[in-house]
Order: sequence, then structure tokens, then C-alpha cells
Amino acid sequence: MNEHEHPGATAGDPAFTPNPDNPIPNWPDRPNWPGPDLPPIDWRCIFHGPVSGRYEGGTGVPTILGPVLDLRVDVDRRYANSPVLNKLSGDIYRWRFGGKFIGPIRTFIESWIVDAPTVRWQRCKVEISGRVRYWRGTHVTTDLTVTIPFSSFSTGPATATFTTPAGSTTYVCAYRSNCFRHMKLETDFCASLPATPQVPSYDTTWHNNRPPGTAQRTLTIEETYREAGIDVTIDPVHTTIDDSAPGFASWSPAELHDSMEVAFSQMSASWPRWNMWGMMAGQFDNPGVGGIMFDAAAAFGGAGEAPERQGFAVFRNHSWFNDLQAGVPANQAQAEAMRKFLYTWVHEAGHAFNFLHSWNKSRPNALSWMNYDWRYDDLNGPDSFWGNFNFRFDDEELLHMRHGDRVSVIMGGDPWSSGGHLESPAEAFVQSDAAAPVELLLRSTGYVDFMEPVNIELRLRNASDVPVEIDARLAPEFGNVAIFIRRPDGRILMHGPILCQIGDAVRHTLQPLRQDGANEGKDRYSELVHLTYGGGGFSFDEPGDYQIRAVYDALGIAVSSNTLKLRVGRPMSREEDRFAADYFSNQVGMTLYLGGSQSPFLSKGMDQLHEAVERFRDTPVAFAAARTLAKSIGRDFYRRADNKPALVRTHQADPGAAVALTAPALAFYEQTPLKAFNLPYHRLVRERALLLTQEGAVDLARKELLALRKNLEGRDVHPPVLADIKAFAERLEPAAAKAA
Amino acid sequence: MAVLSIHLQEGFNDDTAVIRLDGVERARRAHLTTKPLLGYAEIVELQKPAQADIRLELVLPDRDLSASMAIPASGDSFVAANIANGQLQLAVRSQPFGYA
Repeated sequence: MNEHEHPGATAGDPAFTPNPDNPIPNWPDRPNWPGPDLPPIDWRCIFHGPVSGRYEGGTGVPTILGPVLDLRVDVDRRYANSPVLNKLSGDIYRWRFGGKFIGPIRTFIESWIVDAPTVRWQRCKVEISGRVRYWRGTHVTTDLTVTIPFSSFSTGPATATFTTPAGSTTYVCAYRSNCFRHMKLETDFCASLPATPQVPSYDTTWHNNRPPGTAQRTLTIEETYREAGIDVTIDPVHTTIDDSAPGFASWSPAELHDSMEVAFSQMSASWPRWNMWGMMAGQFDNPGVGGIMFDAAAAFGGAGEAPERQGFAVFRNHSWFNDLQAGVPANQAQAEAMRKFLYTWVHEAGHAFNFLHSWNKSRPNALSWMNYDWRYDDLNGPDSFWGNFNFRFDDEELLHMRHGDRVSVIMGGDPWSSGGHLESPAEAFVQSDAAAPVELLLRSTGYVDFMEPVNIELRLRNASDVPVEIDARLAPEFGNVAIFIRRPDGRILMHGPILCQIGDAVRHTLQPLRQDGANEGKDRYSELVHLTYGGGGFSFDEPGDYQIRAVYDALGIAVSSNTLKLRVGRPMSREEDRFAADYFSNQVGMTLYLGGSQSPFLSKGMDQLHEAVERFRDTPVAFAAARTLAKSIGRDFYRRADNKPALVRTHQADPGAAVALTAPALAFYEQTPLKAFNLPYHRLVRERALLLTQEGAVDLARKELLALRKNLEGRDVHPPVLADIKAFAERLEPAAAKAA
Repeated sequence: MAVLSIHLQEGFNDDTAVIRLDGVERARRAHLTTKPLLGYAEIVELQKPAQADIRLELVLPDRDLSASMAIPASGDSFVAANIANGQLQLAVRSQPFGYA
């Protein structure tokens, strides 16, 4: 939806306002004013600024202890050169009593957003309403109506009423600012650098390469962020960092972080908080780096010390700033240097708001502070970035910064690189309430070979003191588990099943784990979920790093999982790479999904799996292919053949062949004592036991089961699981195969 | 002497890179991984040979990928190497790349 659309309001609605961009002052100038589609003029409301901005207030309960709402209204133009995003969002806090020495403490509870509010402008007020989407946990359906009165002399207070089936809660919030969030920046400078300029100040018309019609204004760090909707204030107190040590030439991320630890006045305060530290230094270890937000994981090139996103550095001795001068530039080179100086400060602070680079968010053509000019030019022609750039963040970034989940935006909150999640499905990568009665854990080996099927263990564990009932059907097919996958290119997709299964919940009670260790094992329940192939095709068909998260929602319990990192290896040979083109086909995908098939429609898929077994012997790819084939070979297959009405058996079970196919996998699991293999090992032995029983080799089946039990006992598997294996072995009899 | 600066940028993931000039191995780097904070994995600086035609070849043996290109003989040259869509792509320019 673009910023001019308002669902729910129509031209025939007397409350309809056709243009949300600061409509009030312009109304009398409209040619059709007053007209049938617009409310009549009220002199008290003619001259007035926007209603958008930040409001704050409580529920009116006559006590200082209670909820507080930080409300953000983004429905009309609040500031020049600042897009309207048509959103409502907010953070809910609660005042708590921290003891007689601490007094009341304001504690953050949660954030929410209304994605597509309906906006109705009326004579002296605006009414904004919509469905609330919370960023964390699960809530009952909640609708919000915000009413903001305005006059020529004042705005607000905003009345925000949250309505659920259980009732409603109303907050009365005073207008605070025309910005949505605020941040205090502390800037420190190295002694070796020129005294001025310390911070950028750039007139948008200084450089000739600019978009036609660029609005003339002077951009500073504060002004740039104010246009984005963030009220940035720069601390007037600065520390000078003595960088004159003999032999010191350049900064590493670790040295930058250490310098922040010493110089940043807010370092010892509690985090997260809306504070940021920026240092102007001489040169980075790599002199090609003009600035760095160093406070991120070491794997990303940062210092690797949490909490993250607290500080950044700009390197004055980079060649970008060779011509940098304070004041009005004497030539284009000086103008370019100041423009780059502004860019670098704004860009690095943007990283600390949790922004990735534009191309890492699949937006290489974004005209944003978070893109590189030369990367954009490579795609669009020389000098095209600055010739088109309007000195702003792109809309997705504005959405994140203004209205994103507080913990993913605020400095010291979520780790860096989680900033792209507003583009993802609403439930993806949310965090569940810490007080959820069960814990959902995802586990895997952490690494799979290229083309190896991906199976993830989903484990629910009772985290409460009382028995908890769960639905044991832990798979997306049953609609009670949603699984989100972040691919190496940053795209997030929801793993959709091929088949949907409807049925009653399989109720299973998780016992609480007692302090004496009793009930150990009975407090948890696991299932192995196949994620290789789904409604969107193969989910893991590219080498690289994936992140997986699941949300369980059944029987009144909703909980999200940890984020599981999974790395998919590269093809090890040209032969493997070539084979992959045939392997990642719908036929193979469906064959894997269905656990093998003797249908002639999937014969190519089965052929490919046979080929994988032959080509990649003694590898996980071959083991998985063999197991899929074995399941299909080991059972009869019936179908309607030759257009005859009756089903006929077209494949006779061959359990001996199936057992032989999976022998190498069994040997591998027996000799590889990894926890992540416990479930597939367990499952394989049970499958083989049934096949062996079909063959009449019950003794051998029991022998493999008892070996499994013994091996798992040494791999810390809980006693109830071991007891179940023993019971399964004892139950085996020649007829058991069919029953099972 | 002019500089040949080879910037191994996006798409590297625990890779080994071999750099050859006119068929002669001049540099080899292992465990290259792109740092998303800055957008590069490694920058390799070489002196340009004093000759008219220079052929740069970059090989990623683990991936069975390679690419080559002619490098201007005069002045400093900056080569961007990126892996995208399973391809190794090279591009040369006369201005340095900047990272932030």
C-alpha cells in the first residue's frame, strides 16, 4: 500500500480525507472547498500542524504503578522531506516498584504495530483504527482506535483504546514530539586529527551531481535523522582520545571497542538504551574503510562483544576526506568530501539501528544511506547514485527505524543483522514470552552436506511446575507448527507443507521436571521434521548459512523456538554440482517428501535417488537416499493401473533389499556418537526392525534394537526413551510389521 | 610501480583463492569469508609487472570456479571479485573501492 491509500475510507464517506500529507492547513486552498466530500471549515482547526509524532501516557489509573503507552502516529506529513508511512505503532511499559531504595522502575513490556490503519479526518479531530500486530508472543485479537483532537492551538491528547473480546483498555497520551523515537549520540575525537570539521554539515545544493529539484537544506546528522523520524541530539561534551602512542598507526575492531569501553560515558549504564557512541579516528587497519560500526559479532567483521550496536567509528584519514574543509566548499571536490563525510556518519549510525547494507537485503538498487554509491553505479551507470539519491533511508528502513520492534532497533538490543525482519512474514523470528510454560528447541547437526536432506528435531519441554498438555503432532502438516527459514541471500520463507492433515490433537502430557530429577525425560517430547522439500520447492538448495525458527501454537500454548543456525556445504566436485541440477527437481523433492514412491509418476525421482546411493557412497546424501528408497521398497504398493477400476499390487515388498540398502547408514550412526544423530539413528533402527521382522529375522531385529539402546544410553538419552526401545523390541513378533 | 589491488568482496564463504598473473601464481589466500559489516573478505595488493599486457586469473579451487581478465598496463587498477549465482565475476576500475 502506498502512503496515500486508506483502506476503509471512501470518497462518499464524509470523514474521508483524500490526502494524508498534512491536509489541514491546505484545506481552504482546495478548489472544491467546501464540497460534499469534505467536512465544513471550522475556523478553530484551520491552522494547524500535523498530528503525526510520538505521544505518551497511561491508563488514568490513579497510581504511579501501571502501564504506560509510547504511541507513534505516522499518518500525515510531520516534517519536510519526510515520507508518510501510514502506520500506528507503540511500545508498552509498566511502572513497577523497585524497592524503597530504587523507587518506581519503568520496564519495557512489548511492542506492536498497526500495519494498515484506516484514517478518518474530521473537522477538529482524526480517528485512526486497525488491527494490532504484536511483535512477540501470542495475543488475542486486538483492535485499536486512536482519536486525536486538534485545534489551531494544540494537538492531542491522543486517546488510544485497545479492544479485545475480554474488554478494552484506554490510554490518554500527551503529544511529545514530531519524531517517533529519540537517540542521544556521544561523539569523541582522536587528538591527531584536524580540529574541524568534527561533524558534517552539507548543503544539498553544493554538489552539482544531484537529483533535479532537490530541496535545498542543510543536512547534519541531527537533521538527516529528524527527516527519518528520529530525534537525535548530540552530547555537547566530547572526549579527546590520545592516539599518539609510538608505533600506533591504525585501529582494529577490538581496539575501537576497547576505546568505547573507556570513553563512552554511558558504557556502565544498563542496556539496551537509546544511546550511541561515535568516534572520529585516523585510519582503520584496512585503509580502504571509511567507517565501521564495529560493535557486532566477530564473524561479521566486528569486535565480537555483546551487547552490540553501541558504537561506530569514522576514519578521517580515508581518501574520501582528503579535500574535507569546514564551511562553504571552494570547489566540487570539497563539496564531495563533505557529502561523503555526512554519508559516512549517517551510514554507520544506521548500522547501529540494526541495518544491513542494501544489497544484503536484496535491494541493490535502493537509493538509501545504507547502499554504497559505487555498487549502485556498477548496476546503474557512472555517477547515477548521487544523481538520484534524495538523502534518505528507503521505506523499509524507515519502517524499521520508526515502527520496528523496540528490541531490534534500540542500541544494545538484538544482535546486529536482525534488522531486515520487517519484510518477513509477521510471525517469523519473533521472540516468545519468557514466561511461556513450555520451551521449544530446534536441534540439528548444524551442518549438512550439499543435497543432504534436512531434518530438524523439534523438542517441546515443560518449563513450568505443573503438568502441561501438548499436541504431539509436531509438524507443519498439522497446522500447529510454523517454520521460517532465512536463506543465505537474506530472504525469509515459511516452509509450507505439501500435504495438510486434519485431525484431532494427539494429546500428550509433559510432566514437570522435579528438583530431585524425577520425571526426567517425561518433561519433554521430540519429533524429527523434514524440511528438505515443501510447497515452495527445495528449501536448502544453495550452499551457505541458514537460520531456522519455529512457532508452536496449539492447545492454548504458543511458543517460539531458538534460532537454529544451519550451514549447507558446497558441492565437493564438478560431478556433484552437475548432479545437483537433476537432483533439485520436483520429482526428487516429492519422492523425498513422500518417503519414496513406486508410482510411475515419480520413477525419475526414485532413479535419481538410486543414482545418489551409487555415486556418493558412504556419505550422508547416500544414507538419506537409501533410507527413502528402503521405505518404499520394503512395502507393497497398490495403484489403479491401465484404467482398471480395481487397485492392483504393482510392487511387492522386498524387505531384504530394503535392509541391505540401509546397512551403511546403520554402520555410520553406530560409529558416530553425535547427539544430533540420536533421532535419525533411533528412527532408522526401528524401520529396519520392522523390515527384518517382515523377513522373519526377529532375533536380528531385537539385536539391533538392543544395540541401539546401549549406544543411546551412552549418549545421554533419557531412561523413558531407552525403556520404550526395550518395550518395542519385546513386542516384536512376525505380525508386528503390519501392525506397526 | 603501479598497484594491482584485488578486492574479494561478496559471496565468499570459507573459500581459498589463488591469484595468478600471466599464469604465475602470485598470491593464495585461505578461509576467506565476506564480512557483511563492510562487504569484503580480503584485499590483496600486488605490484603490477612492467609489461604491456597483463592477464589476471582468479581461481577458487574448492568451488571449481575461475575467471580471468586483461588488466590495463598503466596506472593503479582495482579489481572487484564477487561470487553471485554460482559465478565468479571480475570487474576492473581505476578508482579505489571504499567501504563503510
